Amino acid sequence: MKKVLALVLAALLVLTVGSAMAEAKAGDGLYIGVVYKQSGNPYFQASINGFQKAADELGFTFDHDGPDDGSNDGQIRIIENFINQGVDALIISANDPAGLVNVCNEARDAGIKVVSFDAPVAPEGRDADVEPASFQQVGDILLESIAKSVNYEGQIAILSASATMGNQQYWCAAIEKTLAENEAYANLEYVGTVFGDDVYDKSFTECEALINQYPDLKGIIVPTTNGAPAVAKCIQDHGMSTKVTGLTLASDMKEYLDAGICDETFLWNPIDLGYVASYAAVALINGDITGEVGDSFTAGDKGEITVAAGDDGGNTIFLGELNTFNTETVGEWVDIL
Amino acid sequence: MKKKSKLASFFLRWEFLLVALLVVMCLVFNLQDAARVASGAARKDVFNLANVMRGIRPYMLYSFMTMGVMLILAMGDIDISTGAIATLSVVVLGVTYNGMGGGAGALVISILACLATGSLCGAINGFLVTRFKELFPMIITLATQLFFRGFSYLLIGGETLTFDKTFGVLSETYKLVNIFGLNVPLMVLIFLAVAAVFFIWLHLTSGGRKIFAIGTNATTARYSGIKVDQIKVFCFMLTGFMCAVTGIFFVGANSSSIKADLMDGYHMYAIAAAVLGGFSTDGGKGSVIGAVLSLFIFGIVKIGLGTLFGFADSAVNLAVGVILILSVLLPNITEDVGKLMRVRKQRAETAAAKAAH
Amino acid sequence: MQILQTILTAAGLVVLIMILMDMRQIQQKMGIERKSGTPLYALLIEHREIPLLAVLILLLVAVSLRVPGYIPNNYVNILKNGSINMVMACGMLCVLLVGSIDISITAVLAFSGALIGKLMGLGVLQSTLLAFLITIAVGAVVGLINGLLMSYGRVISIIVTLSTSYIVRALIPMSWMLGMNKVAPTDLAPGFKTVLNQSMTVFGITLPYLSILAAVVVVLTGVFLKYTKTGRNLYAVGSNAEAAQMRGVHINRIKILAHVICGATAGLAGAMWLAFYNAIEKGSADGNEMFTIAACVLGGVSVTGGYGKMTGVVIGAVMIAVIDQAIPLLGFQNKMITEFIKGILLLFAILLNVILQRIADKQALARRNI
Repeated sequence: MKKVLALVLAALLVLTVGSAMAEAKAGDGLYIGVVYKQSGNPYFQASINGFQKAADELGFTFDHDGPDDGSNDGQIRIIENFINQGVDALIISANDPAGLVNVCNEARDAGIKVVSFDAPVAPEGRDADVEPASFQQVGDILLESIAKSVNYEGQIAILSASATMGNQQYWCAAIEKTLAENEAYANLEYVGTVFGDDVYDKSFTECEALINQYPDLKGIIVPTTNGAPAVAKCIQDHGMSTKVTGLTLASDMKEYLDAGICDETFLWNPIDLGYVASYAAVALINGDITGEVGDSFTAGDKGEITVAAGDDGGNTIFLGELNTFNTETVGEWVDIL
Repeated sequence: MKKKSKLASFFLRWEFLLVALLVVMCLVFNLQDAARVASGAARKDVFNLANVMRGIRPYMLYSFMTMGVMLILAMGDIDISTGAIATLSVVVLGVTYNGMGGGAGALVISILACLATGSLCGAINGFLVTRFKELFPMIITLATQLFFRGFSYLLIGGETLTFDKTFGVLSETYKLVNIFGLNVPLMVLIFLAVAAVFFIWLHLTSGGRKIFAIGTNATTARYSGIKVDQIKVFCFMLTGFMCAVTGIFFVGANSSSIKADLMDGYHMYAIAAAVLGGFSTDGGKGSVIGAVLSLFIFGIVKIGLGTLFGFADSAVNLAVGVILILSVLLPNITEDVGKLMRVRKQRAETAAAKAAH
Repeated sequence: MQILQTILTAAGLVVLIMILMDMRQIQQKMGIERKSGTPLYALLIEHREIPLLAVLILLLVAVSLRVPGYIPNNYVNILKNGSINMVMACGMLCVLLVGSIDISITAVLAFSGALIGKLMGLGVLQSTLLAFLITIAVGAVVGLINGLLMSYGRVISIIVTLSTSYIVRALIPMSWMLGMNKVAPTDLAPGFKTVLNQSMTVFGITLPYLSILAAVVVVLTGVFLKYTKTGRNLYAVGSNAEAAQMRGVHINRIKILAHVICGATAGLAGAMWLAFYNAIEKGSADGNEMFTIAACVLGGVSVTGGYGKMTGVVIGAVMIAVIDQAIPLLGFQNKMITEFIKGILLLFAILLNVILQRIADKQALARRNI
């Protein structure tokens, strides 16, 4: 009898310990600092939802902030604050890839893991980097979209943010490269790139200059979220039939998708971006990965993810997919993005 | 009676009030810190000397610039082109260095070129301000600001300049150095030395007193034999020089990445710090100690609100605005109240005299 | 909506007539001046906006040579893009006249625009007219605070408005305001969204409602400054405060009034911005206040107070709009190049003003000696 009781007790003990083990999460007790490019941007609000989702699953806590003026030194200020608060990892979307290297290395010296997402920190200053898709992929998708809208012939142009922004520069280069190489686009005439500084009124003025200069312009690619609604609004005001595509927020563009100025626009899923970046950071802290090319880890419901060689010569984790917004799909995204 | 008023005036000195503000702030932040640790909201204390020393560095970048802006405010002028001068100077620094192919020699020459550019830009401001006295310096420096920024853009376009290893030496200026067991930013040490020089010059020599004399009344100063224009040009030049110094430290903080759109808004930070330090755009008053204290106050306020009270970066400016208004408003109100009380006392005395009569 | 547009149309016609009348006045003046043998420079000094007008015409000719058909293709855009700056410049003129300055205008623009955007997004606000009134009221309140601190608090205007611009802009990303979001076209009431984007055609000339609204503000300010006692007092306070006080002018009240007007125009500019662009966010128009000041200074307004004309400011604002519009067409697509050219022009214009003034003073002195 006594033996049986002992056995039952032992079994119960094992069970409770076992269930307690199952409830322990990989990120329990961890504290992560998220630094985004600029405050007041709905795009980053959406990515924060991704961090929140991962935090619920993994059990870590996080704080987030972005500089008021979108400057590099503003991000340095915020990173210093997070280092002082003793975070375990920093997840950063960098305004200037090279400009954060020193402060990130200071953080790494203090034992903090540095993961960049959305916009990379230069390879020498980061442990891992999570990007939506390679520059070439994004460029090709945008080009194919506008080509489809204009039936593969006519003049097209790009309205970018500024020549200094790394991503913008590489997307434009990718578009230009494919245009020159791919026979399918032989009838498209690329008239050039103008820059709207990612500022609404400036993009609007630049777009006006563009359509004045090229009255037969058939399509404009706008790979900048602040520029795209300005360009679409400008086309709408002038009553032109020019088509617009680009990387945009759904809420900004619903109006213009419904009005037929855009056939479709794109954006990766910033929620996934934040979600995967969180899993990568926790895996780094727990020593599951070191961030080398070829490392792989499980990112929740996104499954197994492998670190690949990035566009900038460093290690990068690509999500590899873009969301398409058109008149059907934009409705479900409009409250999220 | 006399002794008491002297004591009162010592304690009512602006610098003393600033020290008091600094102490009160540190106390509040420490209490909040302890409360956060006790309640489990934070795992460790955040507001300690080591952390403040580390965190204050980004807020000390414009400290050198403030030393120059302070001189200009003391003369009753204003300069809003300082951020643009600093940017143009570092752009020249980068272009010269890369143009010479790099190396230690190139670094020395390019730093000299950077300082010379800053001084030249300052001299241009000074020349315009003294030659065209009808114009408010703010408008002149607004125009030159656009000009300097545009010129930096003409030099490097939209590019981000990157550099070789030797150039990375500049990053050393952002590092912490160990003094008596405490890690102190090298930048702050250099700044305190520079501020000491400015203090001696501005408050203890006749040269400095001339600057305040110009700010109090330029015409009187001219008639009493002060070479007003020469001093003004010199001060604007010195400001330009300090802007270039700010630029060099900025490059150190910014991991040697140079673009044409850096340091936008720094002119306002510098002016804000100088005004909290007791300087006024009316000229003729202010002290170096006050300016140094207010630089630290702004830094610590921003650190404290950000790390302890959960203020977002964009909300911190709210506090800056309030402090700035109060710093000018409060002395004026005290003065008014004082005046009112004196008038009342006088009235009471005359009434009493009348009654006695 | 129909009512508002009818009002704007009527107002537009009034503006046109007033401009024509003013032209005749100028012509008369010029005729008289020529007869009495006053040299050309005196005319230039009396009307500081004339050299500016010449520069503007030169600029337009130069651009037209480079870009054929520039004016017919672009005048509507120039009018539209200059309008918001023009409205703010009216307020800025008042503030500059009393010898102070306001650099919080673009913060007020962003805040007031964001506020009505938020209210519309919540579905509380539907009326376009009410939206415009709210922005004007919000702007006026900020202006009042600026004015009170400046006059009774004796804080220098640049410091006051620097602080309020920090404070007002910091309010926008607060959680009860926009938070992390911005105002998108889908938030706006349908009537508000299109009210300023249409235009009317008079004798084949397209006049956007946005510009007509700006013209109304310009005329109101112009009439206020020229023909009302309070308006003249603004000049009096700016040129000689003590003398004005002796004449029984309440200096503080006039200064506060100037700041309230400036705030109100900045608030109105917020509604215009949102109605025109259909989007606004925390950083909207940041830094543009310098171009408003530049428009005034280009137009010959003295920053130390007491001198400045509405016509000059209008030309200055148009000039800034032309530069914004023309530089990209000339092949320079960067904001900084545009600013560079604005900087040079500004420097050129202010120095020209000073030199003209000096020649005039010298001549006047020489005449007196004879």
